[in-house]
Amino acid sequence: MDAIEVAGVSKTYRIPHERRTTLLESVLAAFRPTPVELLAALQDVTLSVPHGACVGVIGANGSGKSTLLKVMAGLLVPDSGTVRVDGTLAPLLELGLGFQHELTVRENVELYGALLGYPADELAPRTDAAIAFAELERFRDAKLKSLSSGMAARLAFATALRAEADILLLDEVLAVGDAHFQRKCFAVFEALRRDGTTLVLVSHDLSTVRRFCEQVCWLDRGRVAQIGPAAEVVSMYLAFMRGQIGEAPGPAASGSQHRLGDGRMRYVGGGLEDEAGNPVQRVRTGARLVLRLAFEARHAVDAPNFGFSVWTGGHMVSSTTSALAGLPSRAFAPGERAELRVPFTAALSNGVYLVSVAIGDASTEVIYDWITAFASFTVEGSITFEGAADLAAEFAYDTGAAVAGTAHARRP
Amino acid sequence: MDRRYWHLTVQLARKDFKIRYTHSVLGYAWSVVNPLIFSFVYFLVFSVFIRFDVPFYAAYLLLGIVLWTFFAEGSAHGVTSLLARASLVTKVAFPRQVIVYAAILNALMTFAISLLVLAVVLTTTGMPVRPSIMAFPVLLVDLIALTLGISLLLAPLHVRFHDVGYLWGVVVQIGFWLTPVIYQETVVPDGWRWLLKYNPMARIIEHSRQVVILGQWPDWAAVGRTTVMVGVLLVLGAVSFRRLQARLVEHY
Repeated sequence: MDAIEVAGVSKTYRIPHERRTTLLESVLAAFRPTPVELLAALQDVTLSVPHGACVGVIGANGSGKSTLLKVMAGLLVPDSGTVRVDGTLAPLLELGLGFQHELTVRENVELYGALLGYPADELAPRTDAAIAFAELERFRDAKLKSLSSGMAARLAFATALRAEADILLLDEVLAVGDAHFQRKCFAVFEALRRDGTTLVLVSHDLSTVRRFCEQVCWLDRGRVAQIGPAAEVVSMYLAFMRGQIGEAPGPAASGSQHRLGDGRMRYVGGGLEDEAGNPVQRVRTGARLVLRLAFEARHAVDAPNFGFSVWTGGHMVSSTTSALAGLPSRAFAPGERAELRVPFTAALSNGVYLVSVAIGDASTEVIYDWITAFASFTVEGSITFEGAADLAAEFAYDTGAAVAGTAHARRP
Repeated sequence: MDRRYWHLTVQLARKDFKIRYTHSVLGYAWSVVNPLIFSFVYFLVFSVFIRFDVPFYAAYLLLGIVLWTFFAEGSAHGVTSLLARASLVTKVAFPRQVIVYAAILNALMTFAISLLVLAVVLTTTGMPVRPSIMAFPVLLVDLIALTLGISLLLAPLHVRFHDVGYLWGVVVQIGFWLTPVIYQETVVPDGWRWLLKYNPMARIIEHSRQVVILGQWPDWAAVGRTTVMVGVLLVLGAVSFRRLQARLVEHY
């Protein structure tokens, strides 16, 4: 089983308009019902986090991110659906939980460590390690209140990182400390990932999410809008936040392909071909490929802009659009169909590449249709050592230069 | 509850205990000074002013007040503990009993010091140590179980209805006068004895005086009844706690 399996989880909060916290108010309220607002924090959320993966959770405020984390942590009981966790889990929903100003640095780490599940027989060494990591050995026996808030945050984060749980849930806790400390944290983070710690990261910092997570779950008003490769989901989310996509998409219908957009104009077919018009899966590096795109306008569209992007390992290699390529824009009538032919050069290193395609309005950038993993192809025969691009480099000795070099070397 | 949570309980209790007396000159001594001062005042009022004629009245008083103080403070901390620790309960998943256990353990630390002082006072004033004192631990277990049972029962309710805490405070204040802490059970008219008969604190304090001060073995059947009463309360508290803890977070 996966590290965390969330299946069909729904959670609704009942928010009374007038909060009752005294017995008398409750008794009185029994005779005049208080209006209760139901807030669907999570609706039918399904998500699996494999062992050793780093999954990001993004979404606007109030989209259910923290509720999802609390459900995973076992703090909230879902109304329906199940949550299964395999391994020890440490939720870091707030750093420095239980920190007391009147206790010393060491005592605070001991207490927080115990909360995070440090075993009793390892409390002392781990406490020392955490204090050392936070670079606060000098203040070991100083009261916490004598530390700056940044130092306290560092201490909290250092303690949390020593939890050594199989699964860490992090809610907006990465952005602490100065640049130096942040670099250290990222290094520890990488180490945790290498050691196979499973991470679930809730963050508004999309660059952090993109950097560490291979999978991202985008929540919109309690529903899963998209789950998929980090970079793609993040770019969709950004497009949504910029207002380019009217409605948040629903969960992917099949496999790794995701589709969203308002559907005013849609791709209806197409694929990759070689220049002779045969479908291709594998190509030599530097070969010409042709992306064929059949589309249909469902409503009148003034000036569509067609684009495609190529991805590998969750990172975008390149993207471009018809507008940038200088294709004159034209209007399409409802029901009109057409095809585009987009030849390009596979100047890429060996590997598997995914092609995403999109149509949007040239001026407003509203997206009509966006399909991820629309097509895929494999590149072979590249001499690239590292990196996604193949620059068709050639190595040769230049005889003239070699002589000049020799002459140069001889000069005393 | 496994070892890991026991460790957390101890950490919470110890740190709380420490914080309680920071910024005070006397520190831990306060936990003892308090019952001593009250014992002295009550002694002054009832033995000197009102002239209660009770043999070993000072010892009676001190023992009663030490036991009652633990019950009153322990249950007050226990009942309000879950709400007081809201940030921990809503952010980390661990058995919620830990919070209540830690509150009781914290009160026990003070109680242990008080008992020590009590022992010193009793021996220096010439109170002999007799074999019947071996029954005292049984009564202490009853006392702790009673305090824990009430805390487990009321703490989750206090999170939902803050009145529970206030209500409990009133109960404790009334209970102080309906329990033979500063007087002896024998001064109560027969028609009112029933009030004390079903009060477990009255039973625990009376039995304790019997075994510690008078040196008599208690009526084991009566001790048994008290233990059963306390046991039922503890089980009730534990069961209801278990039922209420799952959705506790939503009620903060």
